[in-house]
Amino acid sequence: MKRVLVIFLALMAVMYLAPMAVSIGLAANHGIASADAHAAGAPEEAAAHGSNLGSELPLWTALPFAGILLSIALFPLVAPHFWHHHFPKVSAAWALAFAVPFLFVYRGDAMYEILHIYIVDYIPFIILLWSLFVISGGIYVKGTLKGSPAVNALIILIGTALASWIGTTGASMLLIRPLIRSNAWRKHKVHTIVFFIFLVSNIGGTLTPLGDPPLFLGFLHGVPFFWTFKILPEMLVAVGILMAVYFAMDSFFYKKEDKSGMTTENGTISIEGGINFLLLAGVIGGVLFSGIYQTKLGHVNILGVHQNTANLIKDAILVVMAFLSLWMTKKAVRAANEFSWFPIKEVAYLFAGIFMTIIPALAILKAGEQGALAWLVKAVETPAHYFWATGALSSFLDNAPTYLTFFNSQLGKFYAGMPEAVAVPKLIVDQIPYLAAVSAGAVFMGANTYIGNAPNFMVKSIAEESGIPMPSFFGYMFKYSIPILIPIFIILTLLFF
Amino acid sequence: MTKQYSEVVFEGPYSNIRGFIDGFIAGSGKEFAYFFSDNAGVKAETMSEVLKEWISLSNKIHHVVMESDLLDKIKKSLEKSVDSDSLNKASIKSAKAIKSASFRFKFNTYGRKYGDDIKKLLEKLPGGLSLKEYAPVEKVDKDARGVELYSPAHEYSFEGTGVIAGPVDEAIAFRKVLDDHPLVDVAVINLEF
Repeated sequence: MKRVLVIFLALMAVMYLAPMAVSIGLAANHGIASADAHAAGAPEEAAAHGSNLGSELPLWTALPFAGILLSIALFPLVAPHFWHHHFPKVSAAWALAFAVPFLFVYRGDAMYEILHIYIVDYIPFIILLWSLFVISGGIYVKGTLKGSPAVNALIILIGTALASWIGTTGASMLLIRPLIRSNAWRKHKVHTIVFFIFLVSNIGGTLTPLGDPPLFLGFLHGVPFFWTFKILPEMLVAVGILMAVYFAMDSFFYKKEDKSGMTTENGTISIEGGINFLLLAGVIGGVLFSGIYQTKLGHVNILGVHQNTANLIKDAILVVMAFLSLWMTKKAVRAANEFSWFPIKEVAYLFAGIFMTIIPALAILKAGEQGALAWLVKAVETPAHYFWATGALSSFLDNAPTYLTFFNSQLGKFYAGMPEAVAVPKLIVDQIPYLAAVSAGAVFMGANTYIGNAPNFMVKSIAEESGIPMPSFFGYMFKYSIPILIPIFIILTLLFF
Repeated sequence: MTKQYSEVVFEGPYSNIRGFIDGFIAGSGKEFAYFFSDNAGVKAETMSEVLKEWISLSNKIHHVVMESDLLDKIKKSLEKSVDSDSLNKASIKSAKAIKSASFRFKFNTYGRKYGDDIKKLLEKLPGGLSLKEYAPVEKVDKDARGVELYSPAHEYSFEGTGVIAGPVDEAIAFRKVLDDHPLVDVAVINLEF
């Protein structure tokens, strides 16, 4: 099964990038003339491919979507070893449960929808995560610090700031081990790992599409790269309160520690694989390039789906940066990071299933009050509703598809029937608090549970293997996230939404 | 030779009792061991005693585990003393000789190094203590090696439960050793009379 999936993914990648090699010039020439027309051309493409799908599809067609999200949420808790060995099959089963009847009934339109979501969303999504994963996995922070409240707070703060630029997963991978090493002598350190999850693995990823997968999905759908800076005030308030609470808490526990066990009084820290910061700048440049030249370089037709040339160039830049990282980074650096391909394979397999099964949910939501989820579109009215609805679901389901779901429900609510290329530019200007609420809800509330965001589990797992008794699923919620995060989210609601 | 211990229930202010015992030991010129049950993790109060304290809104019942020789000397000394507000013979509500002590523990670790640490702790028990109902489960899943994002499974896991039983002073000392290990949870010490 794994082999079949690998072949499928490889074929998709070849189909995706091959046209660029042969038609980039042609597309560019065509594109310069028709750049503006492309945005207007998109509705024709959509109209030609069953734009009524959203009002026709019944709600139960979204069951495989619910199924795969619940599988991701529950299997690691109830059957971790089964899930570890069989998640690609489970993902494929949910994907086929939707794809087979969908193709049988809607044939050409169904094929177009499937190709569209894989070419426009899935492949660029995986390329970005893969390149960030490869590059951040080539940076190793060496050395051990003192593990005092000030040092811990500084490490968490640096991670929070980095997360928006190397992704929450990258920042977590980079700094969790130095943080654990610095606190190895301490008895009270669980709270430090929990606040690391709150800030570095989640809230820190707020500011750019590189920070957290939901925001990158927004970027792929036309939200500008720097638009997410509009959530900076919300982020600063959340980070400010959390850092103050953490510092007070850690100072309290630090006083109770037996300092005779402290291994390093004045440790130093050094960075290996620093060249990867340059490659990271290349990734940022590539993503910015595609944002600036989004419609100016025309598009390429891949199996009937239009993909902007700028996006293809961006993906090519990202792939080159990642290969450069693999080539230029010493193997010892990756070994020190315990780098392996497994995490990115997980993302590739599971999101292949998520993107397939999300098709009916997105179509229904885009249809707004004409679709089977009209009640949801009507019920979620204010930015506060969006913040809590997106957040509540992001706490228990993966936040990337949750973001996309509510992003589309806003398009359906405000611009039902309008093509996305026209609706999104209106949404980001006219409905700022709404999109800010969805973005903040998806990113911030991923910290509410271990299953809210992918790096949470990774950090928990690394901490446990380093001898830190991390709380259980409910222990994390009842001891930490509910008493600490929920009051902060209430404050944010009162202040901003 | 193993020392004989007793559980003594005192009534009176904590500082008076503690001060009296410390002073008594210092005055005797000998070394005696004693533990306040609350501090040493020994199950002390019965439910009826707890209720009695709640109802009377007092906090004057203190369970002390002490060497029986020390108890005898204290009893003799209090019998000779005149009644006072601080401590007198009526302050000792009861005293029972302890036959043995035991406590439950459980552990759970995902690092081989920490698993080995726990094994070492349990392999070399201090004299007189024994390990009962020990049920360790050690699993190795080579395919689960490394970091995961969505399908977290540990390459190594070692978990178990058990009961440590033996002389009360050894049990108290070893319970503290286990309690200081971050991956081991210990329950209160039950006394057998």
